[in-house]
Amino acid sequence: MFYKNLIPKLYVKIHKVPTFCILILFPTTCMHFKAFTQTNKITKFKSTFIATYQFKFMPDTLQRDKYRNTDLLLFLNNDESYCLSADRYYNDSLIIDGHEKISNANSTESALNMARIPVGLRSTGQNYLIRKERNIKTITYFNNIALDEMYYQEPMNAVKWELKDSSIIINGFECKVASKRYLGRNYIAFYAPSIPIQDGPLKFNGLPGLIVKIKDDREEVDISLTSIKPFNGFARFYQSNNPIKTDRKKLYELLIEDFLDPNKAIEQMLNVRVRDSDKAELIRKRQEAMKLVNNRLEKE
Amino acid sequence: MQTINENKKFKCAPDYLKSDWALHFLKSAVILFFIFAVSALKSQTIVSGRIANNTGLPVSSASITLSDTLNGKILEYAISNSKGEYKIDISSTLKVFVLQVRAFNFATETRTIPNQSAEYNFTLTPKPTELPNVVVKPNPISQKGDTINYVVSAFADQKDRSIADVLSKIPGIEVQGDGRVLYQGKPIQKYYIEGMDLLEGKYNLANQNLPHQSVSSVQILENHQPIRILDSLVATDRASLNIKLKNNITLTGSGRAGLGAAPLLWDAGVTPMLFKKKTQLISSYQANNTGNDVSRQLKTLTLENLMDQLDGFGPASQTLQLIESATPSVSAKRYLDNNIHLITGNALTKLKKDLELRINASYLNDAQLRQGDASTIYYTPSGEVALQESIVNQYFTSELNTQFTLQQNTPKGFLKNMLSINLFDNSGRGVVQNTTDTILQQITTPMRQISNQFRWITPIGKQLVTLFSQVNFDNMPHQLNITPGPFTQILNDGAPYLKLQQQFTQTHANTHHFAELTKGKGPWTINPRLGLLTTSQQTDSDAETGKSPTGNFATNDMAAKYVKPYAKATVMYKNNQLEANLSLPAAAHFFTLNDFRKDSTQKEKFITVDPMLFANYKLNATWRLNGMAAYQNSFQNFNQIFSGLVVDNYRSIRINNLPIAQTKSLGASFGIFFRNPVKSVFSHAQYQFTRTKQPFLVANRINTDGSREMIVIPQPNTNESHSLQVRASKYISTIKTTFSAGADLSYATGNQALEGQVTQTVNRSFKPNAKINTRLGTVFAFDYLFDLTVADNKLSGKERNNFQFISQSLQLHFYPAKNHYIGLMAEHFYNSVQQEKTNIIYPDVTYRFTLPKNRIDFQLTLTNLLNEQYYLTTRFTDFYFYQSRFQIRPRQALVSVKFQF
Repeated sequence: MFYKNLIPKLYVKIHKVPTFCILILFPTTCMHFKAFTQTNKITKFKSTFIATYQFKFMPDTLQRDKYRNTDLLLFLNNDESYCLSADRYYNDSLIIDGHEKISNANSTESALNMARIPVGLRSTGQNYLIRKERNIKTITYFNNIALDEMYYQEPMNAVKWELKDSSIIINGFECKVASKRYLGRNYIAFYAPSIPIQDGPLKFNGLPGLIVKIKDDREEVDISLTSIKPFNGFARFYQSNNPIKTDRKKLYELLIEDFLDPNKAIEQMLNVRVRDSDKAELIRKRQEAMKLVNNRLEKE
Repeated sequence: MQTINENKKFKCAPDYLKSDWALHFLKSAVILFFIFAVSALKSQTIVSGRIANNTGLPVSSASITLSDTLNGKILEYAISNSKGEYKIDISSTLKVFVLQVRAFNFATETRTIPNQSAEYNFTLTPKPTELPNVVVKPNPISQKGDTINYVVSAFADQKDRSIADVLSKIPGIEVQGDGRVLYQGKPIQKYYIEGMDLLEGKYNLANQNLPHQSVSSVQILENHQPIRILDSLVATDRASLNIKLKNNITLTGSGRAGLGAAPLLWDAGVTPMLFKKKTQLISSYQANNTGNDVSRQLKTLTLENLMDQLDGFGPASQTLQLIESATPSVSAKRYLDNNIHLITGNALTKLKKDLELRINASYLNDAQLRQGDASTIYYTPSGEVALQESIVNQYFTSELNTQFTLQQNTPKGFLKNMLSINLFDNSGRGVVQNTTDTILQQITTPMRQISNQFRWITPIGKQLVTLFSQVNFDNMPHQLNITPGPFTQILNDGAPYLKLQQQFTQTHANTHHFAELTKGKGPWTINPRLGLLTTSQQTDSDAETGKSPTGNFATNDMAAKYVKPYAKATVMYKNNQLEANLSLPAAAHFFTLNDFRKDSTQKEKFITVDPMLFANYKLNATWRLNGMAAYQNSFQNFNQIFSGLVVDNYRSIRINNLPIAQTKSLGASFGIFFRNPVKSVFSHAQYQFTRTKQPFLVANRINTDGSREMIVIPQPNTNESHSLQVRASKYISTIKTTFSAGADLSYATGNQALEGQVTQTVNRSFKPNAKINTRLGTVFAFDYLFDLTVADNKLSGKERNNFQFISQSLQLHFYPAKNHYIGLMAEHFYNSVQQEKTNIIYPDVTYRFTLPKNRIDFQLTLTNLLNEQYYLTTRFTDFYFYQSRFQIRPRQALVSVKFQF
């Protein structure tokens, strides 16, 4: 609904300053401003506390001093957790707020509100939402490709952690150490038995205590707890009513495909047609950008 | 389970096994397997159970851990399922364990259990889990490869203004009194700002004036090779420092203006700085008469530049001098009576093709007054000669330094040309009142120097070729005037005369050229070099009494030439752990000394080989060892040789008619370094040994008329010194405190000519020190520094002198309200030489009010509250005992405004 109001403006922009505009709008894959339609819903999660992590990742292994930094949020209660990037959470909140304003307001105001929402949206390459249901030992990974939300599921903690002897104080938490090989990387995790929640950032979980820090042996991944606070209320995520089930490898391939040629997504989402020359330019820019991303979190 | 499997196997057994024999065999096998399986099951302990809450409902997602009773190590764990059930297989052979059940919002249950299979059910009592509501601060010290990052804001405190204030509190880093920055006990090699080397060795200017708020982090680059093309080829164990700014374009700096009393005090200064991606500018004007020696900001502090001086390119030592009282061994701001103006401009810009152009220029003008009384006792063969003097001297400094540098530093090549022009016009005058006379002394010591250094490194084929050229000219026409004329017996046949004009002019021309090949293969690098070093020196002197010509015994007219062709081969080895470096230089030394006054020529030639071996070994990420051994020949006294009389001060007349001395020295050092940035611990210990062999001893002979002559005793002799340096520092983030402690130990033996006899001297010293910098909370912080020096001196096994010196400094910082700061400082010095003991305490108070919006400080400083007037210095050497009472700055108050932008 609301995206349609945007179309005339964007359409003009795309044709006036095409690549600039497209790149601003789609700096990395999957800008998350799908329309509110019957197909979308708001997931409300009753969270009792929130942990934030700093996620350092080396996108290009040839430039070993450059890291991409992402703030991760982990909403937790006794049985489940949701992990997503702070940027995605911010975008979801904007869209949900806008949605609520639309449903509560008269038509002129709602038009204005709709027009404002996407202006503040943050570009993010981190659009996933990871749900961990501890009682049924299932991880569900959601991500968006164009207008579709895709997901896959995997069992929780299929690879066992190996407990280590050492114990270390990290940021005031007494942590025990565990390691395992997971999807092509050797991870070492530091967990705090004093916080009896067997969870952690991203898909990591299954240790007898919250993961305070996890890193890999190549120094390409480093996720550290930056804060932990009580959170009384609902965390809200903007999701599809009918997500499409797929598997991990397929979803990864689709994400890459979408990154390398986002034209389809642009056309589908904005209901516009992108000029061929602009398409080629965008593809070329994306391919160049891809050269600087030769590393994957999940290497297998 | 296993038996069922086995039965299945049995049923599936192929037909040929279905004979009786085979059946029998299989049966026994099954039984055997069963027995084994049961015994295996016995060794496998399983602990299981159910966890419920007090109403009997299952508790899922509880952590059940099994740990070692002794060290708390978690051995096994399980997580309860939705029915509250858990099961743990124990493979450990320990006899007892601690079983712990933890669940969110329930009290933790702990039980000690034996190593036996059993069922343990738990009923948990609800208890809110206290969530550690924390925001974690990142560790202010982090390491990546050879780079250590320090987050400046973690070490900075409200009272700190410049980056130097913060650096001194960072573990692993020391800032010495003159501003030199040390990392793990060694001077840093480069001081970069955003990777650019604007000030080279004169980094104190930026360090003292750059507001720490503009800096995001300080990086230590270990094993840093500043020449990029040599990066993987030539190993170095030296560290450099890089300042990372918060913004890409930074306009920053500091300024101050102050007035005070008594006498009338003034202090002014402004230091704007601009840092952009391709351009950096630092300029400064500073002036004061408050005793703040801002010229220290222009002092060269890196070793690289000192190395140039070792090759004979530095300023020659000054022969003519004013007699003065020894300056106190306390901070110069306590005693310096100055009137200084400093202007400097420094600019660096990146031109095309990675070419950097740098211009550094500075002008310094200072007038200093030094007053004091001195007593000296000379021990001479004919008895003691005692002197009492009251000295008032004024020194005028006028120095212009300019430097133009063009540099290209890329992984493909290196080019650097540095042209410096220095003009000094320094002078001094003073009045000496001794027991019998009032003497006016006046000196002018101008110097003109121009030098150019060129270095070019380029790849030719698979090797690198270095061409180096350095040329230096300087001219120093010095003059000393003494009224009334001294040494009447020697210079004027016993008749008094009005004034002595001692001229002493030296002119040097030095050149150093070499060509070097650098070839790397795998971990090896070889570096053959051919070079030529030349020095020519002209010495002219004349002592004019104003009457008839004094006669040529009081003049000098000498020309000296030194030519050193050399060949040097250096082999380097470097892998991940080991760096080793062997260098083998062979040199020929040709000396020609023409004494035109005596019409004589002295020629000497020597051939020397000076091998040097250096190795650095990384044991692991935290420990490092290094060692060095070198054998070296040096030729002393070369530019201090003159055969005619020179009056070098009003009571010293000398002849330095020395032969060219070949000194052979052997040196070795060994160091062990530990640093763990994760735990913020830095420490090292270093031992050094040197043994020096000289062919003769040089001694001073005090003649009965007070004149002094350098005489040569042809006695080969050996000096030895051992020194040990230990340092450790640790930062504890929970109490925001850096603890540092260390000690220096030295033991040196030497020889001394006394009354024609050669006797052995032993000097020992022990210097422990400790430092605490803490920021306890937001209201209070303190810094404490303690230094102790214990030294003694033995002659022929008998103790002659002993000496103790304690220096303590305590600074208490209070922040009673936001933007208010009160600083209470006290310095204590205790000095004990023989029976002389002195105690001096200098308390100071500072109050500061800050306008945070504009970063403006209003400050009131009261110094030397007890109004101490003098500082007593006592010194002794082999042949004299000396004590001076130096006038220090009185109690004074200064009101100033400081601002940062």
